Amino acid sequence: MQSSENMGSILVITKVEAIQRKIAEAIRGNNRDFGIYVSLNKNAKKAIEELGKTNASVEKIFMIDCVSSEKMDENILQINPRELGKLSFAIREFLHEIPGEKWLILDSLSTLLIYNNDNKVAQFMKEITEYSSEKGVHVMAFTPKTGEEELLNKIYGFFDKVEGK
Amino acid sequence: MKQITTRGILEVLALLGLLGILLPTSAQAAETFTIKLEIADNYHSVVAGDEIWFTTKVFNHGAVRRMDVTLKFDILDGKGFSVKSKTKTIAVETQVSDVDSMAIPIDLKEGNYAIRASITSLEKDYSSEESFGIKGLKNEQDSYILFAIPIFVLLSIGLLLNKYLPPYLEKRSLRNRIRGIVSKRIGKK
Repeated sequence: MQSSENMGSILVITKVEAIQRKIAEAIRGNNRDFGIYVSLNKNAKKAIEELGKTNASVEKIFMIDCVSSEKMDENILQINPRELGKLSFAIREFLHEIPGEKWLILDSLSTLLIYNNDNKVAQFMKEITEYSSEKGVHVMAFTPKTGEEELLNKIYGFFDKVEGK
Repeated sequence: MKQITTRGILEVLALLGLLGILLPTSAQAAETFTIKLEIADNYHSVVAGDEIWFTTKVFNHGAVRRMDVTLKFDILDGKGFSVKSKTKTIAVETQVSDVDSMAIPIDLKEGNYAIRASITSLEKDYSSEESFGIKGLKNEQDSYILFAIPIFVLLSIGLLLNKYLPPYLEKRSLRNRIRGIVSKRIGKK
């Protein structure tokens, strides 16, 4: 994956098994201080463990866990993936509070389709990419090649770059 | 003699004509009325703004022919002053029963009032009146409305708060939590 320094927002379409590796690469390759990781595929604890194995710097990551239902670490925000409004608000608040240059990773956009229709997911992505663009946040959204063409067609235009199309 | 006969005939005719005018007049002068007003049941206690219903019976005792009579109705306050009046003309031969109503002025206070029906003739005036009371129910209704409006406003506010307050409080709580998480990791700005 290219250095993300000058990239606004990027949508990465890749195989399921490659997502975690690409995310770790993106975090390692990111020069920005802090970032937000929205975990939609695995709980935060598991995600941090896997990132740790890849030597990605987990101290710089603020986690939003959209998988766990039980309360975990108080420093990890847990949000139901059905509540896209709340998720959008939380991401924006993090981006507002974190000083300096920051990044945002969403690990599996297609997972949101399990809980929401594609229009709502597209609307959510539009809000996030627009806000991030205003704030100069580097956004990396990952989605597996699972055939959700309808959603992908709606959100391609929100990103500055699409990889694996 | 022919002239006297003609003149005589003319005089007789004139006399007859005069009698034709005088007789009815004297018949009218002989007319006397009895008037009786009765307030309808259930209308002896009314609310200002409502209608009061009554029956007026007019008897024409000296009637020789059907005639028009002007009835005047007055609502009288406790001191006997007319607060509202109206007139109507009815035809009477020997007797007539007329049902009518009057609206009680909305601004009349609670108290004792009367309604009077009267006929004015050349000879004398005839009248009949009956008492009724005005109760303040409409004012009470206004009070109910005055209570209902604030209750409605409070209810509306309550519904709006119920709809918008929880999401606002939730967002505020989330914001505070995120601030706490960030400041703990990075330190306060």
